[in-house]
Amino acid sequence: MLVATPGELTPEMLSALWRVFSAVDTTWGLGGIAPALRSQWQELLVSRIEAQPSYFGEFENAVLVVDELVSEFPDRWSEFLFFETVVVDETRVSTRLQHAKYFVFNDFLRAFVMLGGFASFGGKNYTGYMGGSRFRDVPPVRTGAL
Amino acid sequence: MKESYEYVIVGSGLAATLVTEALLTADPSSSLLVLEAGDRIRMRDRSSWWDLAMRGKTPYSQTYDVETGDTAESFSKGGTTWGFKESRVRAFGGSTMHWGGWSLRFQVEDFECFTRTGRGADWPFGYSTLEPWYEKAEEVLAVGGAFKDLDCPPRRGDFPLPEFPWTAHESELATAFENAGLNPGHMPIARFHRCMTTGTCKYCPIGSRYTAQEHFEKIVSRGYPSLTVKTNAPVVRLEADESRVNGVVYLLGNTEVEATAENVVVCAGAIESPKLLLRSRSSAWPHGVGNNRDQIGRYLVTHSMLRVKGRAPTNPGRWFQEYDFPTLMSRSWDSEARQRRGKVFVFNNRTLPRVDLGAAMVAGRRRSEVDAVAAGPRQAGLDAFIEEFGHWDNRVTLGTNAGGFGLPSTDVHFTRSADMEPTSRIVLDAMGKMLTSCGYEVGDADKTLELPRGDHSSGTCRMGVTEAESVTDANLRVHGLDNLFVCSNAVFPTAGAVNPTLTLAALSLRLGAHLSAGGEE
Repeated sequence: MLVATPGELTPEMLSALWRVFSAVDTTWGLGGIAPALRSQWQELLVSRIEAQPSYFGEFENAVLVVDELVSEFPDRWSEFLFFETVVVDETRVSTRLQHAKYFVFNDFLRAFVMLGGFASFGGKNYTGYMGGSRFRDVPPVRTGAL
Repeated sequence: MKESYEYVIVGSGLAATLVTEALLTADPSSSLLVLEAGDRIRMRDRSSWWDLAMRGKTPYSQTYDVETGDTAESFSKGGTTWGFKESRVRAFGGSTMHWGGWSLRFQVEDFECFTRTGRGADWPFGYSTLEPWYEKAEEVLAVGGAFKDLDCPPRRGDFPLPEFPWTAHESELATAFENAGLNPGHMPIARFHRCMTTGTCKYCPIGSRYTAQEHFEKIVSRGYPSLTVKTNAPVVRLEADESRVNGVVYLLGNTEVEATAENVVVCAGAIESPKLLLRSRSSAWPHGVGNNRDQIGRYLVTHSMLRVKGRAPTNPGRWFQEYDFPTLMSRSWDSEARQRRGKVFVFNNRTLPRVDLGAAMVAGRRRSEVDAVAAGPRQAGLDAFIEEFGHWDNRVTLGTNAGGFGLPSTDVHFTRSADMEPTSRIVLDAMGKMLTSCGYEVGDADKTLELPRGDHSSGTCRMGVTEAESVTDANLRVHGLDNLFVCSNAVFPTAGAVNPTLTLAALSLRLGAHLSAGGEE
């Protein structure tokens, strides 16, 4: 991971990162729920910064990468980031772009799905989703006839 | 200078927690020393939770046994390979840190195994003795279940909490159970009322699943004046004369410290409890304290997992596992009729059908492709535990290598019963037919008898009536010693077919009451 002294994300940094998180919604058609997930997404960022080791250096790098991508590919930066930059093996992470995709934006993808994006694929509950109490009238999962 | 206490408790898991609470509730001024070899793990830590939710990584994986390489500390030496990996958490709070919360009572006949089958051993008391303690244990652990389920042990009242409903997928499998002649039931699961079904139960973000760590921290927070808890304090040995343990020697860093106690309770699990007794040698006990009849460490059993998987070409309902635990189970094969062959407890595979939408997106799949993952080929699975019977030669011994915490390594000598493979094959075929009846394709390679693992280890300090056939008496006191008790799965004479934790909780509550009453019957 990229080492940096943990700090606080500036509004500009948050804005750059939010651009990517909200683009997950529009790119995959996940129901336009990104605004409703913003507070949970920010909590993810804070907890990652407070982790050992801290993700702050990765976030700083990711902001630079986003700015560069948007500048270079203003119309298709998300296409480039989400579909043309696939990084699934940590041992092969070396460039700034690979760092950003693996340590930051892959997390955004997984987080978006589990915080609510899964519902657009037919699910009612998903690993990591606060499915709610089982003591409600409506069960937190899809149930059968029996 | 020796430290002096009324009780020294070795270990800090479920058993230690419940015994400690019982003793302090009865007499808040009791002086107790609790010694835990491992460290504390942060609970409800948000970053750790994100790691689990997104990457399946837990904050306690470093506490698991090392089985390979230069730092290996646990060795399989028998005819059947024994797996240690991820089978126990060696930290403050013990293995309830990662348990699934499955909380099942043993059946009536489990307590009379030898009498009924000529195999295994009898418990020194029957189900009715433990029944009230099962009730209390279910309250402590907050167990939800269905009173109406068939083939379950007798109970006087309903569960403390209602059952979790079956998922749609499990409802389909329940029909297959019925078609095969099994009564489908609901898994008794320990989850507190505040559970939000987040599906990350291995490290709950809101403490909705019982863990001994959180329970023990609550006990500590009550401020008992004479309760001392020490972590990173592995117990090296017990010092004993002919009839009493006079000292508990433990490490603080590299320094040996000795504590004395009126009573010593070893709550260190089915592997470490016998190891501690075996290495506590003296002129009075040359083969280990309480071991003049060579009983300690023997009769090791666990549950082998039977696993069947099936595949269907499509997933029209886009089903996937929505809990982190199975809610469908059956105890129809956990019956007296099957006892001689080995009882079987069957349940839904907790991870299937698995649909990892996030992984597909990370891999660069577009919406239509992710839709295809959700609606595409579907896997289902049934799992079962099969009962194993204790054998003299299956045992835990002290290894010759350096193990964790500066203590000796672990050698497990375990060879399966000769009838385990053929019996398992019959059960696996029956489970396969259940999946086939639901439209899944099941091949021979999809039906496996998994290697035995340490998760449900028991029997290594089994209780019984005489010193010739057991290590402890019915009150968990080690034969021949006035003040040494073992409270662990190690004392189980038989393990039945179901998870041991609720039974351990019941035994712990019973021992706590026994000790609190001054050892009165």
